[in-house]
Amino acid sequence: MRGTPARARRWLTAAGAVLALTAVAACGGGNGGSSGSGSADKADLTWQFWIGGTADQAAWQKVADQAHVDHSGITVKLQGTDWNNYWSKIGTLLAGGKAPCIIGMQSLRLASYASAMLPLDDLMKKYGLKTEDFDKPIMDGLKADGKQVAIPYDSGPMVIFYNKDLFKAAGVADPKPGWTMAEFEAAAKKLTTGGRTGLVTTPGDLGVTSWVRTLTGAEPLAGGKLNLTDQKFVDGFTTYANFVRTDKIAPQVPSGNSDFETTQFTSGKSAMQLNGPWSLIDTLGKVKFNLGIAPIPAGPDGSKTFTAGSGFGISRSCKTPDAAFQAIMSMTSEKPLTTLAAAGRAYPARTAAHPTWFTAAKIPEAKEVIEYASQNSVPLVTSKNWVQVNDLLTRFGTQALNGEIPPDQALKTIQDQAGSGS
Amino acid sequence: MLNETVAPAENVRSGRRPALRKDGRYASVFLAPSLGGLALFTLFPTAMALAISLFDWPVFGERKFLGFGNYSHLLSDPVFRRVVLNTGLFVALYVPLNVIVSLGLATWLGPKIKGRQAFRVLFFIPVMTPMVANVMVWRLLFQPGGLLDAGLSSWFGIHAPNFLGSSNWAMPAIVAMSIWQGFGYNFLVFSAAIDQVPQSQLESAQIDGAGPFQRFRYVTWPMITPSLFFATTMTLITSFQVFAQPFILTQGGPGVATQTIVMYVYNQGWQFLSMGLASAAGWVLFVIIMGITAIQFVGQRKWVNYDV
Amino acid sequence: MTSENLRRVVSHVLLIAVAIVFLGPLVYAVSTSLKPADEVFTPTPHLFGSQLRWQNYADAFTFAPFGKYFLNSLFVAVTGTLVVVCASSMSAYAFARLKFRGREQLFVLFLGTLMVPQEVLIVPMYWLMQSLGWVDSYWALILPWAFTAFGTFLLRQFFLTVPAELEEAARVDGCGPFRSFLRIMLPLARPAIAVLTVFTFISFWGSFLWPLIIVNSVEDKGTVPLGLAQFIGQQGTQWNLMMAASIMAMIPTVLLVVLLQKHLVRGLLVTGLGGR
Repeated sequence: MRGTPARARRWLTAAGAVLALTAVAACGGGNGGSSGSGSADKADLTWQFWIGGTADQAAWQKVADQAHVDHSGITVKLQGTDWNNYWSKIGTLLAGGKAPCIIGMQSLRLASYASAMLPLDDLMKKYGLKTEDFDKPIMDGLKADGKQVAIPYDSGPMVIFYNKDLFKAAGVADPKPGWTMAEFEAAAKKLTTGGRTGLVTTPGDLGVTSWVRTLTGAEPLAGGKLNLTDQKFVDGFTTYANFVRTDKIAPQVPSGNSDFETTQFTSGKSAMQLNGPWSLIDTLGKVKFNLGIAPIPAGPDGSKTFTAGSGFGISRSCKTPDAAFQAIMSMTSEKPLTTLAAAGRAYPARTAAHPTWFTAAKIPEAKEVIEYASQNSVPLVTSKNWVQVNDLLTRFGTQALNGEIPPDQALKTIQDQAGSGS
Repeated sequence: MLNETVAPAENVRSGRRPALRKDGRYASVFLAPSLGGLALFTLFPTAMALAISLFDWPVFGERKFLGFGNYSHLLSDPVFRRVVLNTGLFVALYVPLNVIVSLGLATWLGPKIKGRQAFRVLFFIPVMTPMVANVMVWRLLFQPGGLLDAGLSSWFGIHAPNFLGSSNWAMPAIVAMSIWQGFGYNFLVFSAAIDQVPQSQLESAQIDGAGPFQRFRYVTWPMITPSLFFATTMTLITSFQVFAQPFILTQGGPGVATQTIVMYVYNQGWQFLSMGLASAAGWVLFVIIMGITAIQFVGQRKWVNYDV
Repeated sequence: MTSENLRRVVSHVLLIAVAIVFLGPLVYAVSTSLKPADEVFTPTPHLFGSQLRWQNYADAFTFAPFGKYFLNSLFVAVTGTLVVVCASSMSAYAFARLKFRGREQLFVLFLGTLMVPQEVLIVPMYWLMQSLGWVDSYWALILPWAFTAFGTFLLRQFFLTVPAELEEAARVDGCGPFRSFLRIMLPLARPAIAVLTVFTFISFWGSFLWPLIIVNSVEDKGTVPLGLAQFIGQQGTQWNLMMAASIMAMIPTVLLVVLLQKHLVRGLLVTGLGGR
């Protein structure tokens, strides 16, 4: 095509209009995630966290305000995303290099994001954070490659929640620490009656791995590599899937519905559920029956479970890591954790705050059960592609539980798929 | 008719047709916003997506040029092939059913029916409601213990199928939900088209002894083919992009039974943070849509009637 | 009763039946929105819970800052629609009425962009927004999707039907294209603009994927669909509140459609979407 002056001018006009538009627009924008600025003692920080509504926002903002109370030059602004979409959100934030300074981090997802997070060990030494004040399993759970990536605020071993009223009605004795798998299965069978089931399951990572660990002692990773096709893991998973597919002591599961398990338990349709202490007080408020808790039943080597928990870390792009670390120290100090515990929001990661939580929980056996479970638990350390592994586990696990494909085939598919893309 | 409006270039330059030259200058002003916007927000990102698709482009870490590596990975990946099939299945079920339901109801609700204005608004309600809300309502119906399950088990003593947990039921469930949600749009378009069919022609056909089906076939149909073509093309294009329904109802499961291409793009890009693969999958979708649309446009000559 | 009348009665009865089936999910949504939280899932389905809990609507509004979400969504949808209508009517006018070189090729290019799925664009669009500094801003919520070929196509179809004499007369009177566009074409195009307004507003109002990606501070820049997603929490879904919020989320679009309904149907006719 020939470029005539008139033509060129037309294009210039058009291009000019685009530029003008961009320029006008750009003045008003420019607020795309601040990385914080200032010094060690004076900084305005942003904190990205999972939030479920106004009440949640207010409770966590109080935690953030503790930083300002301790260091008058530091303010922390809370920025929230709902739990389900939080992880894709921080992925893009961290990737863009403009992530907020403080990032909420859960132990299971830590490995996927660790490379964009600042190792905290030097700062811990510099500011004298006492690691022994925290629960050890969760402190370990928030490490990647041996380096501390986040400081925990909550922790908890997976335990069984059960419906005391249904147990009583079926004439089943309340489970005690040390109860065996045989006792569990007998109880679940007896409780499965009249449209109700003894248990409700989920194909998600914590549920599957905790049951497998107590059933056969197998763990999902070996030497940092995914190890789902290991015979012991397959055996454990098969037994777990059989709860639904052959024993029918648990209902069929819908796909992609993370709250089905909780709905089923709280509405009294299933008598038992595996859950973490972080949900206990919330569940207490929802249910109309007497709620009890028990450790996961003991397999051949005793009751074994996993611990998960969450904490706060610092993004690599943060310009004031010192201020951010001081803020995190304040946010995980005894006072805010005790306040959170009293409000029932989290089973605190600090030992000193435990009594407050047990008082709030109002379940007499809670202390004994959780301490027992904690002693028998290890942190669930995950791999870099864990987000993908969990996605695959949920997909193909659903099919395995519902009896559409054999459990060993499901695990093989997951192992193959997760291996191919990381 | 299109060509006669394009003036030869010499005329413009020699200034023999000043009006045309002036038009050109005006046209650039009139076109500037749209052209600029489309260039910046559609053409540029489309090209950039193509560029990204040629890289191993993880969100963290180094980018590596792969050439067509992502594409060959996709083609050899059984999951992606299944994802493409799922999308095709959704389109194959959704588009015809949508057209049948909306055209059927639009014909039925002809000008003689009282209260058709109310029906139009009524059927349009799900279209107007945010998709998230629509999908959540249906999750409430479909999930175990939800309305369908509870209703069947308490009135007939049988359990409903596990709609969202069974590989056989999940896709039909998503299609059913989508038709309920989406047919109101085409219904409105077809209603407007049918309104244009002169009553006199229909009545004279009836006097000649034509039954309702013959009247539809020989009087109504020829007059509405252009809008039928428009509606099916738009429905096809949008149905290839189905996302929110499987995303919220099933997360693409069980297995990969309801995973669609767009969900795959989202998962690769925003969950597993591999932008290269996500962009490549997006481009595959783009090419599929272009192909289907081209076929539509070629095929329209056979059945679309612009001259009635 | 003649057979024609009988047919009409049967037809109406059947239609009402269809409408009831169609309405089922909506009715269930309303009924759930009025139940106490622990009566959403009951072994036997009930239309009403033990009480009609209107309080849910107030609770939904305070569960998350829904007032803010509604304002944000309204702002985004109204501004977005305005931009779409302005930009598309201008370019549609150029394609329909002005003569310039390369017009047909350019128009085909325009139509071609209709086929680009939004999802192909989101990866690079996110980077684009980042380099413009627009992440988590209203700009990012509005502008990327405010230049659509759909609007241009729709209004061009309409402008083509306006008799050329109308405009020529005006031009002879010394009206430039700008004035003839503003004074003659735009007022005539009201029904077509109504169609475009409704469809654009709806798509902005319901948009989910893009806000999900681009909004970081939901409490600040969140839109209604993002707000709805917040009811799905770590500890289960607040079904009754969510349904209450969903029903409130329908109100603006339903009002818009009811207000513009007359124009809407006429607009569908004149833009060639319904018939030629």
